[in-house]
Amino acid sequence: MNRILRAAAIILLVGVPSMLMSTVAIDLFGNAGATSIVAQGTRQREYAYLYYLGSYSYAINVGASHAGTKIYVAAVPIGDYWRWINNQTVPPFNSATIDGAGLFEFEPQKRGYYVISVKLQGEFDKTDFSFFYSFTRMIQPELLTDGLPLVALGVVLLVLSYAVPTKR
Amino acid sequence: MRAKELIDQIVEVTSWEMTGLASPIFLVLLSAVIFFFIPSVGGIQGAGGVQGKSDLLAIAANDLFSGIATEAVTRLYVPLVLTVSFCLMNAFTREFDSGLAKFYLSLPASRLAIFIGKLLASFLLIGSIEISGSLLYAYLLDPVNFLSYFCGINNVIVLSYCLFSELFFIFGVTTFICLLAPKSWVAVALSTFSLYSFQFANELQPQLVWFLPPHIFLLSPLDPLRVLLGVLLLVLSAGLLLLSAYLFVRKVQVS
Repeated sequence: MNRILRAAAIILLVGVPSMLMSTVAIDLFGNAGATSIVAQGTRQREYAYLYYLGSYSYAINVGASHAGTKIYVAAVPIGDYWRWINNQTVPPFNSATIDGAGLFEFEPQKRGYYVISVKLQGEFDKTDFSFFYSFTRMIQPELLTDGLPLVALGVVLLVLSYAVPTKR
Repeated sequence: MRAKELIDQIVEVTSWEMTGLASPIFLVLLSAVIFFFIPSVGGIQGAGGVQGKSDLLAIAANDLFSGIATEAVTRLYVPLVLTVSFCLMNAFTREFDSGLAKFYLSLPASRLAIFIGKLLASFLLIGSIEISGSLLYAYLLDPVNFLSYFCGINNVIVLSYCLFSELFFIFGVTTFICLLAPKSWVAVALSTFSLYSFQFANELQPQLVWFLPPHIFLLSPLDPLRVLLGVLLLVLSAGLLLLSAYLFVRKVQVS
């Protein structure tokens, strides 16, 4: 029993800081300024995209060159998404209706998975729609605060592993 | 009776091996390597076009969970390749190199039990670190909704299948190479190179990414060709493991 506790403690005490160091390294050296086109020349009227976002400002570039097309964009935390789809009573975290083309800017309050829902309204040319996103940084200091309880749990397990009497 | 004896011997050898493998220094090394690599590749994103409300629900569920499964399976591939080749080299090739295998094989246990016990111990250890790594990473990404990703038996089965088949494939290839390699370093180099070559191929030909490991192990009910290829790779891994068992039991000479 104490062997298992000690193994779990080591995994937490070594693994979590290792994962956090890796995340910090990626934030410092990678991904800045990434831009991605996620849909172009669509034939659909509604889209749902899933992203992992930090609590920073994001700007999503949405455009439909056909005159008269309105684009409704919403960023909904995944936890609220199910209820939002079913009855729309939970207000989306942030949403906008864009006429033709424009920028949808929003700032998530908490990092996590967000569904970006896009709906095309009115007449539109099926080959005209395009959807981009871009961001400039990903550093997430909350990772450290969320990782600390796991490290504390590791310390508790390590202490317990020595406190539990061994079978002789 | 014979089967019961074999099972008893396997349990004995597995617990013996686990005692050596789960030593603090080895656990520290394994956790440090696996956990450091987990966040290092790509970022989650899924996309899908939908028409109606029910489709929207389905696509969101599919995207969310396939995103998490993709994350776990693809991020863990490289650290698993490194740790499994090191672990199995330690269990097989290094013992032949150092002469320790001679004493091991003189234990009152059949060669088959020793082979299965060694494999099982490594599989259990690395598998448990793999699962805890994916869970911890999912928690760190989104502590608030962490549990909601794993509620639903389907999701758990899909994720377990993906992780298991990936680990099974890596074990199949590595065990075979470790048994044939003349030296420890050759075993690690060959198994790492052969498994990492799929990553090279993915870099060179990104359109092939869904037809090669590790992405091939993601379940895709809409694409029968990919499912078939995934199953074929699992059959190949099982074949390599059986061949390795045959080599270990019948052909390996220890001097």
